[in-house]
Amino acid sequence: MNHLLKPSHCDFFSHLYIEESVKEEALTWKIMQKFSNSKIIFIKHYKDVFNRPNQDFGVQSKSKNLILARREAPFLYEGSYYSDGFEYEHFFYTPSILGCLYDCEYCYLSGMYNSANSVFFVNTGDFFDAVLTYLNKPTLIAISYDTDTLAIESLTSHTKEWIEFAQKHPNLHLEVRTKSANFKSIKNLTCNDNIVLAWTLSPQKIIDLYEHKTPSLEKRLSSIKEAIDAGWRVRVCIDPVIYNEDFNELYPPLIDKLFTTIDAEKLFQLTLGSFRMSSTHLKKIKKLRRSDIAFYPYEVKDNIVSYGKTIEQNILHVMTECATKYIDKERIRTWQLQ
Amino acid sequence: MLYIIVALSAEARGLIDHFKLVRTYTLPYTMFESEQIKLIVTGIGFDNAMMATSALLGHCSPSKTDMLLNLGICAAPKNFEIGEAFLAHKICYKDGFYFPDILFEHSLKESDILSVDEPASEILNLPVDMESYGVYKAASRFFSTHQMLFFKVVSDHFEPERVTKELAIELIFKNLNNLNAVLNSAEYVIKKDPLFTQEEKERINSISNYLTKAQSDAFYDACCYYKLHHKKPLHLSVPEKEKLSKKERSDYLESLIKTLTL
Repeated sequence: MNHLLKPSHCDFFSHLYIEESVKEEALTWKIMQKFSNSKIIFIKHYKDVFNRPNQDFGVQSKSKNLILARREAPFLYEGSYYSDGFEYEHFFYTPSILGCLYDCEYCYLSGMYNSANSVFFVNTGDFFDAVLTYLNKPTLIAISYDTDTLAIESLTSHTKEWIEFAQKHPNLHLEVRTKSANFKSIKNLTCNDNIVLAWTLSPQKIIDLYEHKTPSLEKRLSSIKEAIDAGWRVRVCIDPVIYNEDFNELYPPLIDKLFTTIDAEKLFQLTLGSFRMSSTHLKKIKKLRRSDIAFYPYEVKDNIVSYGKTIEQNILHVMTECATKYIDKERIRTWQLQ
Repeated sequence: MLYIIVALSAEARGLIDHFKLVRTYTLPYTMFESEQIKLIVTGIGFDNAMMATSALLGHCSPSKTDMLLNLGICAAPKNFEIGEAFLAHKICYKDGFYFPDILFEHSLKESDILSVDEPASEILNLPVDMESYGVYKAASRFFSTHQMLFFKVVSDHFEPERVTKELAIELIFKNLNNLNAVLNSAEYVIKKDPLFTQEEKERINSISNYLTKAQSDAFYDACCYYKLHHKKPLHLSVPEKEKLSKKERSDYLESLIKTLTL
């Protein structure tokens, strides 16, 4: 027995929690094989693990585990007020994966869930069936709301399945939002104008400070370039902007860097928005983790915390001015407190 | 602080010597302690384990950086050797189950464990004890899921009549190195340095005395922001006046927040 192990956190997915109901599923087997050294723990229902009281999100973030489960209805939720619905009458998000591999200090997920672990629902077909009922009209589904699907793609092939499903249904529009550098995992799929690949970008300093375990800016940019060159519609989201004393030194140069890397003409859209969150989630995050983002003296209006009108307008003004050097205003979308 | 919960005096014996614990009479249980450790002997079974754990933790109010260790012998199937130690990651009892988080690397086996009401003589396919579930049930009111450790040592293959006091002492004694390694690793994951120094805490408290509850919450948040953002010591001066008017209080708070969050 080795007593001299240097103390350390467990690796990601050192423990796989598997619902009894999915233990025979092919996808479950595939994932179990991939993590053959992980400890397997069978459970009755994912909520028995994911919703346990008294979990420590901060500590779990360093050793995230995976729960494989079967989702029961609802399979779709209406899009949130905090995000852009792009004027679609039908705008939903799908909770097919809960929790994210990345650990961003400003993410609402840590205020929303008790656990930093991820739940992957292996019954993807049930989600597709639920979507079918809405496809009499153009319908936008955000498939990476409660997660970053591309970050976990090598394990789940989830994005690929959704994209292939969308190829068969012209009224289905998808937004795949990511911070990953993993375009390669879907690069062999046929482009589809109904699908937008949306990358969130931040200056490298903000990535280093707050976006733990995410790929570097350089890697994200090169993934974006690859996607654009392959003909995909790409939206770049510089959202949320994290405001601090270095804002002017960090964010306008980020826009310059973006447009020196990619061809501005080929970018589908640019989204700009400053940090905002429900005050309930922020309160929870304050208890969960030590992050200066959580303790900034925000303005609170209608249960939303934000930097307040003056700072928010300044952020959008500076960034829009910089971005319009490269692209027309019509392709810039902004999120502002109403 | 490390809180150790054992069912039997024999299970405590090796720990008392190893950690140099001394007898204490704070609660109506057999208890031992040192500066960093409190050990309680609960007696056998679910009810005893739950009651003694509640009594100890209710009395001591553990903090976010404390740890709970439930150590004990158990029966197990033959794929476990006699004397083998393992950590429980799922604790079952009747229709219920708990899942302690094991978030640190270690070299032991992990397993489910079933808590039962009577010593197990029927062969089962997983380890069996009589206390884990009761300990978890009580301790989970006080600890996060990763602060509780269930360290079990296999004493028999469902032959409870073979388990003697001497055997229990010996098996625990032989696993003290494993226990030390597990405790070190767990501590590494649980430990958190305080955000504020003692001096800073005192200063924050003195200033908060001038403010209303809501104002002192806002002030505390601003102090956290300063420490986390600037990673520098906090220098704050307390007002010279003994009391501030409502207006002075508001102005004072505004200037504090401005200074701390600029």
